[in-house]
Amino acid sequence: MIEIQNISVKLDDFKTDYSLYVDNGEWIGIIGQSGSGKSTLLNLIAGFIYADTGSIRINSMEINSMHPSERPVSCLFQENNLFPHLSVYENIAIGISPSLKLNASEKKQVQDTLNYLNLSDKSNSDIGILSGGERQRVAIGRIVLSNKKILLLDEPFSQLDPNLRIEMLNLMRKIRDEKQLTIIMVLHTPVEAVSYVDRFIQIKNGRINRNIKPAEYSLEIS
Amino acid sequence: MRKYNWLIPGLLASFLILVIIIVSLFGIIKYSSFKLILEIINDRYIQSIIYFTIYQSLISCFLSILIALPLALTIQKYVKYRLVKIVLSLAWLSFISPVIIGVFAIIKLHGISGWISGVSLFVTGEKLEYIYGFNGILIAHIFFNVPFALRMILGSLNTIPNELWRVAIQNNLNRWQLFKILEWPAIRNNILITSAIIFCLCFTSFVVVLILGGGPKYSIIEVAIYYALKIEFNIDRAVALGITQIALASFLALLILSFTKNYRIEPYTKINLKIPNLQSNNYKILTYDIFIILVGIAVFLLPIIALIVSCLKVINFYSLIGNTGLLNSLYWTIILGFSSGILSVLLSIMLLMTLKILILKYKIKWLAVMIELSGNLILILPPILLATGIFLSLRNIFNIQQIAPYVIIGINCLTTIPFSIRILGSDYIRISSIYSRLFDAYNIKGLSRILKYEIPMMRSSIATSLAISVTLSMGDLGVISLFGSTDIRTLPLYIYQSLGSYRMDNAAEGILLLLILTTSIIFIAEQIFGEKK
Repeated sequence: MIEIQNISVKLDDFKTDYSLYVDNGEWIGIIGQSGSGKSTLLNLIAGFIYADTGSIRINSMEINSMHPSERPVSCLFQENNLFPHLSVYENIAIGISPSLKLNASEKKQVQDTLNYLNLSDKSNSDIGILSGGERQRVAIGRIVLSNKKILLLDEPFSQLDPNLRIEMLNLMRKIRDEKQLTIIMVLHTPVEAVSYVDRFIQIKNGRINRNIKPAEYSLEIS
Repeated sequence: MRKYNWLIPGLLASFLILVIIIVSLFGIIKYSSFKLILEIINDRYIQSIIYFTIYQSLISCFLSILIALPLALTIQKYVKYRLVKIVLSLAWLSFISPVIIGVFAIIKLHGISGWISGVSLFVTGEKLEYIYGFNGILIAHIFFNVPFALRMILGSLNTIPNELWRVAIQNNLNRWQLFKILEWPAIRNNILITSAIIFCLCFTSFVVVLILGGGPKYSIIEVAIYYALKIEFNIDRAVALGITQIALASFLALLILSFTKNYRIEPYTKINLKIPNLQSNNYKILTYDIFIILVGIAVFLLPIIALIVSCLKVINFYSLIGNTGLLNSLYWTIILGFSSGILSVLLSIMLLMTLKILILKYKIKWLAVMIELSGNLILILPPILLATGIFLSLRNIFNIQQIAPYVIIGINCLTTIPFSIRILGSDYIRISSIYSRLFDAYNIKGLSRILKYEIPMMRSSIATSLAISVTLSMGDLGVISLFGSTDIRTLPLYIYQSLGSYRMDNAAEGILLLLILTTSIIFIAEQIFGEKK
């Protein structure tokens, strides 16, 4: 369970104050206008920004002062998730061994991940020749391999075409169900995620404005 | 005929540039012969100078990169702090200020009467004497080039996307892995470019070697030309050295042009590193960081502090006003610097006006290359050599002293044209290609298009190129030392002569004025005219 209590950070003139509870295995969609503080919430959970006050607990463990690598969270961004000079295989392998020196068991895990994501034929490919969807699948492969239970997704599929976005959402659902992951996802087109997320959270001016059930959200936009 | 009006500015500018170069080459060729070239090959002194020129450039380049690389990797973590930003700005200032200011700063710190020698005297009872010769040349080149290399490496690190830093941190990459996987791929290409530029800067480092070389033993080709002309009055040797310099400089120009074709150097103020949470509480890492930063401070901050302190000591308004030699030098520095700078920007714009149409409209590449080449020819003709050629060509026709100001303006203008073209070119071509259809649609053309639309839109790059051209011209010591006299003397020559006769207070007064003058020009260009609307 993720428990966020009044975490506050001041960034220039912008001040946040979030309180949020997320159950294990839950999939949260974050919505709100640009500049409202959606990505800031993810950055606070990931540890890329440290909170001035308040507390963040994951499974009852205080993580406020933890280094990003020690937190049980992985991130997927809209772009620049991959190191351009490394191959597909190496980009995934970083998730298990940053030195890229893998033992037999680790090599098998990377290969299994490549197979799982239908990327085995691209194993030695350069990142530059991959399509947008393939790149995100490689990044997801690394996240899967790192075996962290919370996924923070910052508009990860907004640069893909609508069909591919749905395909990626299906993939995320499959991974979540199989690996028992908790997902917090900033959404660019919330309407597409209605049948995937457990609830929406609307953020306004650095605060959580309200919780919305997917059915409720569908009703609102219709 | 009106159809070809656009050719006039470029061809006229090329013609003016070529006239100066041809007059100079004529003077050199008149004194050269096959016998002379054979002498160049066999003269042991010239061979040793060539060897030393290359050797000191390689060592200076290697040491500058060796210091700048760990410094950049460490300092990137602390760039967000105001104090670090100020230090970086001071370092950048040391790179773009006239070289003689930096040399003076080095002497104030490392000289026989400098701070380090003072500490040694206090501790061991003996003064240290190491600044003149190879050591001094290396120390000065490191002082000038580490800030430049630092700037280039930080610029490369700045291109790493924020997200990748986060991926790296989240996946717990250690310091070595961060360097290998994230930082090195971003900076490795730039290291090569930076090394090439530093090598070329050291290869033609006239002022540093003239002042700190300590005599003919540690000399580079350009300084040897100066000695041959000014001390030995040996025109044959000057010409022989000049031909050697042209051959080597042609190779270097090709090297530097091929490496830096599309590279634009931005000041530190435009670096905005976005690296998240790289600071560490690890004791060992913090100790290493502090050590590296102290090395950086020793390399470029201590000389600057020594310079500022010595300048503050001599601030005496009445003494400055009463020093007519100094004020006369200030007058000529302003007149010659601004004349060359303005002329350089004007000729560059004229070249670009024609180049733009050749490239964008007619796509006549060969003519564009020829016109651009005329502006860049100076890269293979070092100013001191150009001045030598003009001196040899005109000495029997004119009274050299009478035409000296025009020759100095002309040569300094030529030396800064490659910089102006580089700074103005990309902006001018970009603006022209974006707005060309709009200009055509509203029939905006001719002089009104240039004056009312293109130049106002290029305000920032014109200000930058003018500031750089003016400050480079003001900092010249090579041409002015050949053509200058007691009547026509700029601040660098005044400082050089004061240093030569151990009048350190006078030198410090000159340094202070030159520093205020050049810093103000750069500040006004960047902060007031440089802001893009």
